[in-house]
Amino acid sequence: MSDLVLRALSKTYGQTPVLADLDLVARKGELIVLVGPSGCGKSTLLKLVAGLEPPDTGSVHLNGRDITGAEPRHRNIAMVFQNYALYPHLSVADNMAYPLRRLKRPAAEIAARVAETAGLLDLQPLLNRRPAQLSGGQKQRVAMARAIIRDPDLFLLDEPLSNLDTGLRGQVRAEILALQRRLGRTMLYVTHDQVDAQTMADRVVILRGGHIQQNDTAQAIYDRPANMFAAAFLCTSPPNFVTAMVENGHMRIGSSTLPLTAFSNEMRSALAGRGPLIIGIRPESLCTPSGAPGLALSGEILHRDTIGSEQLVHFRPDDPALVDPAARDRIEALSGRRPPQWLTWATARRDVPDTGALEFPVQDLMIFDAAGDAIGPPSGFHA
Amino acid sequence: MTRIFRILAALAFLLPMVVLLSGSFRPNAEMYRYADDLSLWTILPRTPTLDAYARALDLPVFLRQLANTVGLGLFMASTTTVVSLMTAFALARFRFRGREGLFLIMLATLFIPIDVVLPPLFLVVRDIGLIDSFWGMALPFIFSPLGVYILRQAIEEVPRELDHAAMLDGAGPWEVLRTAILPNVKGALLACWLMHFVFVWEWYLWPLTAMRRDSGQLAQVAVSGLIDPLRSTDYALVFAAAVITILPAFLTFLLLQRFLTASGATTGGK
Repeated sequence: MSDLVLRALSKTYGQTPVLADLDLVARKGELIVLVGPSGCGKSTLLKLVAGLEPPDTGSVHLNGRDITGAEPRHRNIAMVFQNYALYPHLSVADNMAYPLRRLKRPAAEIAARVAETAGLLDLQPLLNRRPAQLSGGQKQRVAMARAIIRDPDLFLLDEPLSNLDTGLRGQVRAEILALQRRLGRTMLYVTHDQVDAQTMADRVVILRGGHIQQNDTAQAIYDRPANMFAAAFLCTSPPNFVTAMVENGHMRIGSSTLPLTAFSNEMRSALAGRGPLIIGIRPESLCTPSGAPGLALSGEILHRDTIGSEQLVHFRPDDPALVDPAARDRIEALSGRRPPQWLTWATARRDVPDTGALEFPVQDLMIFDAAGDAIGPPSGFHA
Repeated sequence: MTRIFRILAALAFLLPMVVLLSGSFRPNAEMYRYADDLSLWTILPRTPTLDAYARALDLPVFLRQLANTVGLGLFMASTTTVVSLMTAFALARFRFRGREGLFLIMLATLFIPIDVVLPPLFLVVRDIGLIDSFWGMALPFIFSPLGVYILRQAIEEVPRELDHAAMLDGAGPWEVLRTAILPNVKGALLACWLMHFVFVWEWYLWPLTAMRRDSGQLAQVAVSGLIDPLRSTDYALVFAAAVITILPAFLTFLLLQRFLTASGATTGGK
């Protein structure tokens, strides 16, 4: 059964459309991570679901009930804010009790629930403190406690980790995930950090400019990105994008060509008759030439960054295709990132000579049309 | 140089108060005796006496008039603060057409001197039958643009997420105001209250116009009535009555002013 259904939601601020015709379904107990660059509309989406802003069009249903016009307090939705929004004049215990007091629950029940929730989140020693006396991680836990105390139908988390140190983030991330699993409640989690998306999400929704780019598991998006933006957003180091051509039954990158017969039947028919394309290849998929026919670019190594056991190698092909400014502008517009004038290659090998060639393994190629959308077998897109 | 300037400025403010205080302790016979040649006795009373205070307290309805001032002060401060808080909340937090314009028009009324609106105001208050009454004096000034301004600024300082959190936690608009905003603007509320309390001591022209009964008049207006240009004025009495009149405002300010600087809205953020 469906828990949260957003149908054709649109929101415009002044002349600026922030969300356009957005559909999203969250099943009961699902943790959905909404991810995207700042200004993509993800926080606005949360506000529409919470009822803090009215949508221009569209509807919000929760548990089969249309709550589009309902006041926030009647939605039974809890939200954790980026800056935690704890009541500064109240102690931790009173902050936690606040939602129950609004429901006019008896004092004994409130005390019991506060004690129970404090136990769950290790907050007992802090109950009498004021928010100003808490560390960032502690404030975060209090905000979570205040959210779960009245057992809401839906949790909304707006960048809950962005005010924490990097070291603390992993820990709090694990705590939130464990809590969500334990409570079994649906959660919409907004972040601009793709690590959150990769590590927590049952499903990742990538937003850009108010439109959903892809809606799938993190693994599926990594394996089969729907477009260049999704490919570049959900990864630790962005893929290499180069322009390519399909002509005379061959695919060509620079001076390197490969007959289309090297591709699977499905891919071959998808590629037939296409002109210019953009090829994406992840840094970890590049390799030294295997000897078999394949797409390869020769060039030289500019620079090596050693990170632990891995090296990030900056490789400049001899072919000038990568430095073509028009192509780079186009790739930037489609992928959301300015491409460097070199290929990035992630390898564990230390014995790579300074000059040579890099091969693009056929099975790892991500192929996009001129509009940046993936070509080939469709990814498991399901709304 | 700046230090000398500061001392001079402080003296300029202090001197009238000193003259007032020392004058109130002088017998009338001494009032002008040391005014010619400057000496210590120009500033301090040579033969201090409480005689003038005794006479001031004996004035027929003086204590009643003082109670009028204090009562009006309490009333104006409290109602203005409540009205300002609600107006400021609406202006700071609700989105509606013409919100900024309304606020600007409100602020603009600050620049209209009371002398200009006095005659029409008198006619209006007279026509609704409130002339010579406490309500006639108080009601036209319950709305204070300054109070709205101060409290609106204070509410703007409270992060909006706090409202949002309260709304999702089950609070309606009144509860948002009472439980999320009000506790975080206490300093501004007190400042607003104290300011409007003390302001009543500056009222002169309006009570003079709207109140013609002696027993209903404010102390500061009555005190000025003791100065009679046609006959010799009992200046010791005027000074003593003035000191007594100031006392409630002075003491209230003394008691509450330490809260003014100590409090300030704190946020629940990082």
